[in-house]
Amino acid sequence: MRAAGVHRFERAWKAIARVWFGVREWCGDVAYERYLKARSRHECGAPMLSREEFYLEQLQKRYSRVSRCC
Amino acid sequence: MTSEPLNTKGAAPAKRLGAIAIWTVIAIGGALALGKIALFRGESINATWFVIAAVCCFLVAYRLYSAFIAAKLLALDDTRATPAERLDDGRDFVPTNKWVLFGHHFAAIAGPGPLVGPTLAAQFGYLPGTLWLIAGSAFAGCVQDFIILFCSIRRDGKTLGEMARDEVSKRGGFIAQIAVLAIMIILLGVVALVVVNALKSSPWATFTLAMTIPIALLLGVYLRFLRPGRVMEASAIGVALVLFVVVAGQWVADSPAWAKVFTLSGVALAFAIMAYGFAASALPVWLLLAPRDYLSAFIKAGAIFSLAAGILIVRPEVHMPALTKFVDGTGPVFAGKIFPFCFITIACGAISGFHSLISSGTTPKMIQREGHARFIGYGAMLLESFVGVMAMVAACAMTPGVYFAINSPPAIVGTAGDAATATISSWGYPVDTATMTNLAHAVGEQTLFNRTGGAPSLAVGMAQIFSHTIGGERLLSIWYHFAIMFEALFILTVLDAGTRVGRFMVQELAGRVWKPLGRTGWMPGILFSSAAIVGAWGYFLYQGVVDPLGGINSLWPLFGIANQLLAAVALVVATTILMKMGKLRWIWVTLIPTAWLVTITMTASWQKIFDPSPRMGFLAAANAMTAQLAAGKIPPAKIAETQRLIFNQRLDAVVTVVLASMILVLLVEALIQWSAILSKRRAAVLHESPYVATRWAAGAEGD
Repeated sequence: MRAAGVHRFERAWKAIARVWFGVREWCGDVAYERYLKARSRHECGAPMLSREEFYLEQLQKRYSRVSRCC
Repeated sequence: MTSEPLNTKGAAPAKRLGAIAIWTVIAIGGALALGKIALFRGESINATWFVIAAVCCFLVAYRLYSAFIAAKLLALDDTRATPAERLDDGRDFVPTNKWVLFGHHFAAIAGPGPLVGPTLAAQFGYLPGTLWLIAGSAFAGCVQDFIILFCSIRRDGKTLGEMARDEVSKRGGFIAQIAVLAIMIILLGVVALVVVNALKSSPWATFTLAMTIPIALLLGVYLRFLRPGRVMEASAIGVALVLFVVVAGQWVADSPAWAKVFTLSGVALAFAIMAYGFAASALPVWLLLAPRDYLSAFIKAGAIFSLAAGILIVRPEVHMPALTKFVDGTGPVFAGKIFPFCFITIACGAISGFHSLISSGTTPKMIQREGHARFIGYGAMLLESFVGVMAMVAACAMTPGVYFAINSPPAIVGTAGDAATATISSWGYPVDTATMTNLAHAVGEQTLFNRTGGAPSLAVGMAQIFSHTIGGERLLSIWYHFAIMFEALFILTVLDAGTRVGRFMVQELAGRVWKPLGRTGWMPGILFSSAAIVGAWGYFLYQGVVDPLGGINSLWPLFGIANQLLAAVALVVATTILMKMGKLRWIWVTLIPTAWLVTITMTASWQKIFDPSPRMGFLAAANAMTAQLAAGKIPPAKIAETQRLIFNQRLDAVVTVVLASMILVLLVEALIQWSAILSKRRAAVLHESPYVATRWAAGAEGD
C-alpha cells in the first residue's frame, strides 16, 4: 500500500515537473540550453554564442517578422 | 500515420462501439445546445448553453473534419522529417514539444480581435455572431491555419508571400506583400483607437497602462544585463508589479492633483500612443518591445483562463436577445446589415488572414512531426474561437440597454446622459441614467457613456463575471481596470511588434528606391521608416478619434475587409497547392470558404463605398458634408474640421477600392493559373522540399 502511495506521489511529481518545464520552454527560458544541445548534436563552424548574445540574436529575429496577431 | 483514423475498423468491437457512443453523445449535446440558443426567445438564457454548444461542436469538428482534412487532403506523413528535424540548429529550426508549440502558436494568433469583434457584433444579438464564430472557425478559419501550416512545413517554413509567388504567380506574391502592409497599417490604427476609447478621461486606466512602460524598461535591463534570458523570473517580477499598479491606479484616480495629470483627451492619448509606437520601433528591441511582450503573454494566458473559469463558475445569464432590431443595418455601434457586416466585424475568432502569417512563420520551423500540424493549426484556432464565444457571452451578459449606452457614439445618442438613455430606451432596450452613473461609479470611472470600441463594455462584462467569483461588488472596480489593462496591454503589444515589422517592410520597399534606406541598422533609415509607418497608422487613428461617429463605424469594417482579404489570399494559395497535389475531388474544402470570403468582402466594400446612406457609404458621407458646407450650414469655426472629415471619408473610399481591387486581381490571377493546370497547359509543379525520412522512432521525437 505504502509503495503504491509513493509511486503515485512520484508520478504526480514528475507530471508537475513536466508541466513546469513546458511552461519554461513556452516562454523561452530554456532556449539557450536547447541551443547548446543542438550545437553538441550538429558541429558547425560558427562561433558559439554566449547566453547574452544568443538572447539578443533571438529577439532580433523574432521581432523582425510577424510574431503577434490581431 | 498521424491523423487518428476516421473509423475504428481495427479496434475491438466493444471499444469501437464505446467510441461511437461517446461521439454520438457529444454530437447530440452540441446539436441540442445549438438548438437551444438558436430557438430561445425568452428573457434570458444561461451562458452554459453557449459553452456546451461551442465545446461539443469544436470537439466534433476536430475529431471528424480535421481528421478528414489530415487524411484525405493533406495525407500528413509522420515518416517524413520536418524542417525542424532536418535543419535543427537550436536557433531558427528547433524541434519543439507539440503542447509547447501549441502554446506558442496560440499566444501568437490570439490578439485583441476575438475579444473586440464579437463584442461589437453583439449589437445584432447574440445569435449571428455565435453561429459565425462556431461555423466560421470549423469550416474556414481552422482550415486556413491548418493547411497553410502544412504547406509551409513542406517548404522549409516559407512565408505566405513566398508561397504565393512560387505557387500562384509573381503578381500573387506581390499582392500578398502589399495586403500584409495594408492590413498592418489599418489594424494598428484601429486597435490603437480601441485603446484610446478605453483610456479616454480615465486616470486610473491611463496611469496603469503608462506604468507598464517603466516596468517593461526595468525588465528589459534585467533580462539584458543582470540575468540574460531568464524570462520566467523576470516575468514573475513584472506581473507582480503590473498587478500592483492596477491597484495603485485607484489611489491616483482618488487624488485630484494626480488624476488631473492622467486625465487625457482622445487626441492627447492618440499622440502619446504614436510616440510610444515610434519609440518601440526605433529603440533596441530588448529594451521595451520584448519585455512588454513577455508581460503581455503571461497576463493574456492568465486572463483568458480566468475568464473561462469565471464563466463556468458563475454561469451568467445572457440578457441580450438572440436577434436585435439592428439586424436591419441601423445599429448604433456600426452601420450595416447582418450580411455582410456580421462576418466582417468578426474576423479573428472565425477566420483571420493574419493567422496565415503565423502559420507560415515561426511555427512550421519548430514542429516535430507533420501530424502535429492538425493539433496545432486546427486546434489552436478552435481555442481562439472559443475565446471569441466567451467574449460574446461577457458582452451579452449585461443588459442590452447598458451595452448600447456604453457602445453608442455621441453623434447617435448625444453626450448627455438623460438624452442618451432616453434614445436607447426608445429602441426597446430600457436603461436609466442612475443605472449608468452607479455602474460607472462601481467600476471607478467618471462615465461609461460613449465608450465605443468594445474594450470598456467587454471589461464591464468581464469584471461582473470576475467579481461574482472573487470579491463581489467591492472588487468590481479593480476587476474592471484589470480587464482594461489586460486588453490595452496586449493591444499595445500588437501595436509595437506590428510597427516594428511594418518598419522592416517599409525599409525593404524604400531600399529599392535608395539603397541606404534598406539597411536595417542605419539610424536615419530606422528613424525615417519608423516615422513613415507610425505616420500611416497614426493618421487612421487620429481620423478615428476626431470622427463624430466614434471612428469604429468606419475603421473596424475597413480592418475586417483587409483581414478577410488576406484570408482570401491564403485560401487561394492553399487551393492552388491542393490542385497541384491532385486533390481536385476535395478542393471544395478551401474553395467554398474562398468564395464566401470574396462574396462578403466584395459586398461590404461595395456598400461601404457606394451606399447612399451617409452613415454607411464613405462617398455619401463626404457628399452630405460637402452639401452642408455649400449650404452654409457649418459654423465658420467648424469649416476646416469638416473639410478634413470630407477628405477622410474620400480617403477611406479609396483605400476600400484598393483593397477590393487587390482581391479581384488575385482572383483573376488564380483563375488563369487554375485553368492552365486543369487543362494541362501548364505542368502542376509543386515547390516542396524533397522527401527525407525521419530518423526519429515513433513517439521518440527530439527531446
